[in-house]
Formats: sequence, C-alpha cells, structure tokens
Amino acid sequence: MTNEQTTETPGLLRVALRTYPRASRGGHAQELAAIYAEATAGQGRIAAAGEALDVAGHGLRLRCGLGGGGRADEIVARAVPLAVTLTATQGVAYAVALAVMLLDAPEFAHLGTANQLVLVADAGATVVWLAVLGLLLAGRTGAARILGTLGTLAQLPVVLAALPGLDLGRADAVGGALLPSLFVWLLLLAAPRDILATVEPRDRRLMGGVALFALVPYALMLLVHYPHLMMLYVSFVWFLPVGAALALARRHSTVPAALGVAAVVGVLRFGLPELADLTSARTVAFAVLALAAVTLARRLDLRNRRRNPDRTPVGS
Amino acid sequence: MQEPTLLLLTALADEPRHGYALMQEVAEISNGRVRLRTGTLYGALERLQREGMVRVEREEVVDGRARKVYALADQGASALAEETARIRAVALEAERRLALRPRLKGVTA
Repeated sequence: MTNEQTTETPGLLRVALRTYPRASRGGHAQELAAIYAEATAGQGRIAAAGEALDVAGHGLRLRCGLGGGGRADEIVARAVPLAVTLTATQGVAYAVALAVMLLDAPEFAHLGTANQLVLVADAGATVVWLAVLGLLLAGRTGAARILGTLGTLAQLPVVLAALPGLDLGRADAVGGALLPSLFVWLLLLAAPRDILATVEPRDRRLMGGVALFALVPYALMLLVHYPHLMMLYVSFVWFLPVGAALALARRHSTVPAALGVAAVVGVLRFGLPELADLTSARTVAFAVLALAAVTLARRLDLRNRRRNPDRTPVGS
Repeated sequence: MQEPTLLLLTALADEPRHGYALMQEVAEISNGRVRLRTGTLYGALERLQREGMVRVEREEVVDGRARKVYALADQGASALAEETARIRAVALEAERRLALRPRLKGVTA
C-alpha cells in the first residue's frame, strides 16, 4: 500500500473518490482502484464514466451515513418501493381529480397558465412514478433510477417556472408537485442497488397496504362532509408513521422504520403545505432547518462516540 | 436472500476470487442479466463482510495495484446452502406439477 500505487489512479476515479469521507478514503481507494482498473480496461469513456459514477454513488452513500454498520441501507432499500407506491398512488388520486376538472374545460382554463403548469407537472410526475414502480417490480433498478432522475429533473424547471405566476398556494404547489418527487428520487439514488434489486413478496404486500392507506383519506372525503376536519386529517395523519418510526428507531425492526421513511412523502405533500398555510412558509422552513440541524448534530455526536468510545459517558 | 447476494455467494462457493473476477463470475452465472459495477460490488462485499458471510482471504499486488481476494466464510456457506435447498425444493415441486399437466389435459380432453 504505497503512495506510488495511487499515483496511477485515473482522473475519473480520482474525482469519484473525492465523494468518500476523508477519514475512510484511503482505506477504500486501493481496492476500488484495483477493481475499477480491471473493469474499465479496454472500455470506452462512457463505460469508464459509468463505473466512476457508481463509485461516486457508493462514496456519497457513505458520506450520508449509509453503508455503515447499522440498518440504514436496509431501511432505505425497503422504503424505496413503499415511497414510490405512496407518491404514485397519491398522484393517481390527484390525476383523477384533474381529469374531472378537465371535463369542465372552462374551469381548467380559468386556472391560469401557472396553475395549469403545476397540475401538468404533477400529472407527468405521476406517470413517471407509476413507470418507476413497474420497473422496480420487474427488478430493473438501473432503468428505474434513470427514469426517476429524468422525470424529477424535468419536473423541477416546470414547477419553478410556474411559481412566480401563482398568487396563492405556492406551498401547495411546491409540496404537492415537487417535494415528494425530489424526496423519492433521492431515496432511489441512496438505496444500494444490490439490496434494492428484488422486491420480495412481503414488500409487495406492504406496497399494497401503503396504496390502500393512501386512498383511505380520499374515500373518507367522499363519505364524511366535514371539509376542514378532513383536511386536517389528510394533512397530519402522515406524521403518525413518521413519529412511530422515530419512536421505534432503536429497535431492530426494519419495517416500521421503512414505513416511516416512506410516509415522509405524505408529510411533504400534505403536512408541510398545511403547516405553511396555518403559520407561514418561513416558519415551516425554519422548523425544518432546525430539525435537520438537530439530526445532523446527533449524527455527528454518535460518530464521534463511535470513534472515541472511551469518551462515552458511563450509563449512556 | 436478494439475487445479487445469492450470485456473489455462488461466485465464491468454489474458490476465493478478487473483485473483478467476481464481477465476471456474477455476469456469467446470471447469463449477463446481472452486471455489478465497481461501487455496487464494493458496497455489497463490505456489507457481506460485516454480516460475516464473506472474508478477505489475502491481499496481493498485481501490476502495481493492491487488491483483496475474497472467500466465502462459514456463515456465508451455510446461508448459501440453505438458500440452495429452498430453491431446489421449489424447483422440484414446480417440475412435479408441470409433469402432471399433459396427463390432466388428457383427462379433461
């Protein structure tokens, strides 16, 4: 393991290795360089770029705290099909409402270009996530990732272009049309391909349950005529699985944690926009940032304790 | 057991192999259907090592590059044997039932 051995590292791989946490980069570099060199020998630049991208993906996963000794990889991998199911099902319900609206052409035209753009972006995202769901069920993980990436990147400028033209409901537009897609896309990229490759029968049953749970609020809306009460229920019911997952985080059960991660889609689509309506978008953004900062601080603290176990307080 | 894990353990079942050889073996065993890229393979090997399924047999230097040679650990061999028995049982049952088809057709025709 000499420095001379790393001087031959190809440029693309060198860039990819920069995604690894600095502390562990050296430990990974030698072996990755050996595999990469043989895998790309005699291959073109596109193949080499694909390999480098895959290495960078692994490095980013490590940087995000995945791929370590915990269950994070498994939780994320199991959450992906659930989150895709949830966002696709909610999207379908939304698309049905859009289709009903389209039957009344004057009402749709009355919405204005910005609102129309948001609705079209949401409908397009639904089609994409349905296709991604099909690809995941078929075991085509790579194709699912590519389609999810293209779909989300296509949706992003449409929603952003529409935002200035929206007088009201910007939080709904961002939350309803964009945040779930961004979240599921990141989840799809974060899951290790080797674990994600097969959606097992137990996962399919969970996916069916998630789809049904996503449709329950809409069914209730048709039966219960208390719009404000139902809106609160639809908006905040998604916090329950997320809270339950956090409460059970220390137990060695992957399913509740995966369901909690998937339920973040509902929080983003309904919970945060409703909170923004009840308070203000700035307050919600501040709360989300504060929560992210606390989570990050806890992660750093845990990492420091793992590195320096002697400093762990007695009894903790 | 997920298919990539099954393929990796199968690729290590007969003899220890280094990373690129594992890539090739997995592609060959799966008839080219599963191709593990560098980062995915490395991540999977790390996970399997943590789970005690795979161990590093030795490290060697080839063409100036250090590389690890991986071997199937006892726990990995047991898991592979269990999974193989499960798959074999399902395959045997499928064959048995398929063999009944023509006779059933004959009865109903």
